[in-house]
Amino acid sequence: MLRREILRPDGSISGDSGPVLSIQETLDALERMLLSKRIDERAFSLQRQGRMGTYSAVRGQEASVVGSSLALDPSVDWIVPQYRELPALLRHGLSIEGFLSYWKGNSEAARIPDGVKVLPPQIGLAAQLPHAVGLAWGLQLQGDPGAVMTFIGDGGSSEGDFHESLNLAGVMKAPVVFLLQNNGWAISTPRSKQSAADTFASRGEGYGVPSILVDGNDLFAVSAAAREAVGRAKSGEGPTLIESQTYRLGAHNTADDPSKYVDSGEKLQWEELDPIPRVISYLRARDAITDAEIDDIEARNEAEVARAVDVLDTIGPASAETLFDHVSSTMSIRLRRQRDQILKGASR
Amino acid sequence: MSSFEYRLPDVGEGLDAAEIITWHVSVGDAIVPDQVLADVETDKSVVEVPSPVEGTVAELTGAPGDLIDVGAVFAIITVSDEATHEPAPASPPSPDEGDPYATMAAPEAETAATAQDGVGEGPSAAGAGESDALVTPRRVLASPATRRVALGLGVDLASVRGSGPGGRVTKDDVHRHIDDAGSSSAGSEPAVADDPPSAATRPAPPESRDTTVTPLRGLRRQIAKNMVASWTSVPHITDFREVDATALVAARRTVNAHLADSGRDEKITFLPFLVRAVSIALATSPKFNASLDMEGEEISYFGPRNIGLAVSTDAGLFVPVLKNSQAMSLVGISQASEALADRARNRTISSEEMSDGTFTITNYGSYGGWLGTPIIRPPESAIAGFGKIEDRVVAVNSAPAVKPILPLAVSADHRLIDGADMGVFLRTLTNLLEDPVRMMAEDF
Repeated sequence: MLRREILRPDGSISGDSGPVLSIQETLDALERMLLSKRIDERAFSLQRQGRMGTYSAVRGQEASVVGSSLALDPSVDWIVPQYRELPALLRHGLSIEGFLSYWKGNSEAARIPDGVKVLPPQIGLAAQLPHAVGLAWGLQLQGDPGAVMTFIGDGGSSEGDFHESLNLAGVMKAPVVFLLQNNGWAISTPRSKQSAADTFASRGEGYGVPSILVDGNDLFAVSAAAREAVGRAKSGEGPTLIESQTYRLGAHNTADDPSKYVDSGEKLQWEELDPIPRVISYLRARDAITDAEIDDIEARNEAEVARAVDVLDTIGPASAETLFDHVSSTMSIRLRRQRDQILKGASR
Repeated sequence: MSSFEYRLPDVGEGLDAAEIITWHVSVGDAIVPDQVLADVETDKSVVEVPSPVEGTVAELTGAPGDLIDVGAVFAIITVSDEATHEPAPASPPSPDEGDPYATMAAPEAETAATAQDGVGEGPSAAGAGESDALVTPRRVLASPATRRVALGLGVDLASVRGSGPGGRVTKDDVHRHIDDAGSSSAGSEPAVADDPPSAATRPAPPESRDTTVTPLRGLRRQIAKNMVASWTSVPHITDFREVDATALVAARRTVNAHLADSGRDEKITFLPFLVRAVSIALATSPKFNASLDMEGEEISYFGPRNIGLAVSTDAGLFVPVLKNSQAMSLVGISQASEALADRARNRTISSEEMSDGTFTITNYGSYGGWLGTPIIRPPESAIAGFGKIEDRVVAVNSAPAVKPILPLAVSADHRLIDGADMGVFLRTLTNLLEDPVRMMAEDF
């Protein structure tokens, strides 16, 4: 399968592709990518200071996440996330502090605001995919104009849920886009040990699901692929599987130490392919951005993150009773007894 | 100006301590939020610990190599009052006045703030000279069941040293606290806290001894880690034998007489015979001179027989390795093993001299032991322990007789070695030791 590429690492455009995004759209996308990067840095630091729990950074995958989300209309389309798609969720209407509250363990503060078409993060591998297919199928049955984009990784694609979801989505022609971010690593399991298949995209064929292979560090190629897939979903043609080939430039999460298993040579190669500098090079070549304007973006992002962290610091731990909420429709006697004991203050 | 006490956060997940690797700042340095203060090593990895505040470093509470508990003061930072916009401390657990269990903890522990308190407080918050209990006031961690037990026994949980994760107090801790306090009369009769038993009814404590706590460091820490790694990863089987050592005692006497006759001022112990016998038995039972690798799913059978000799020193156990033991004479083994043991005792032994062992001998007879259950040293697959040779009454031709008996125990990795293998190895070993002349028949 041919990999789709548009924006070269040096910022030039390959072949005769027309522009996928306007200059203004590209500038907006760059701002989102840089914001994502800044949140990653800050969130890691907060975790190291004990001010937040575990956090999974997006670093390296900004083009993949931002680029795919640009195809979505937040007023009708849904995102069913995994846990490493922060900038897409922000575009859809989530707040930084809301998302980080989840990682601080406060599910009340992390509640998705009404009207924001995003499901909660999913840590269990691939468990979000059946939800995504069900949601998409439901939209179809209700005659809703929306489509669903769900995210999965190379590791998650080895789970049974992945295969069942692709199969059902294909059969029902559910309006869903499976955005598979192949970032090279499933925690410490390398791509080479994940699957013998040449590409993850090739798995779609077995389920009758059209597939696209794309350079995941190429903002334009990812955007174009996502646009095509969302268009197919909305025109009743069913699901698409997109393999976005990118690379996790940091740790799996704050509890991980990649220096123990990542080959530094391989990482260096991927750093050359960093998705952010190539967007800047593209804009520079068209005199569409200056250093001062980049500084302005960074300053705006810095202020926004500082504001969010100030709010985050006021959010305390979740109350103990929330452990029991929204899990069982009717609580068992034992569970109720445990909750009552906790509410009496016997233990926190 | 005020002081911010930076307490070491849990930089991993559920860790209780971290070792300082490097400080990136010095006392007097001006620092900004998110600036890295130090690299610390946890059980998982080396991570950078950044500062939550802007200010000046007033004190660093440890040197590289020191272990710092999570929650202990890690650095003290002087912050200007207008700069104390962050971080807001997590809200402390609110004291519940109606909770009968909550009153078990000291009131000040209930109401004091948690870990990152201290922003904007007066300089006294530094509390450098205060006792640990005062510097880290926090609600006592304990399960409801433990609180109930403590309530029944009239024990103030705040005064109990918790042995659980994060200092959590367990029921055992409560009982131990009572035992340590000498108030063994507490029993099942609930004591009333503000009506202690009179001196007349309380048995006098046998001897007043203070409980001391020392950090787990250096060799002891390494030994502890190794033992846990072996005990939790290797399924041990241990088999025991008692060997008639009559001929062995005679053989040693003969060798020492030979040394004396040839004008050499040295004697050998039983150890060289044990090494030689083990060396021959390993050649006939290769699984005992092998290593099982679960991850790589392979078994390595070692060519050389490098025998580790457990040596007790003041600092703890050392295991120098007698390389290529199969190539040495009895006297050669004796000289080499004594030289290694000396170097271990005066800590001049190199790590090379303690590596590449393929089998280990431990001699608990040297401190009077009879039989024991030796713990294997991974990646080795087996270990032999020898007791003290002593006269015992044994049955000889249906009649009791007194003979010198050498007790021995061999522990083996049951993933690799079955009971039948153990039988073969022990038969070879005991045959050689009961009749040392047999050793002459074999290639070593």
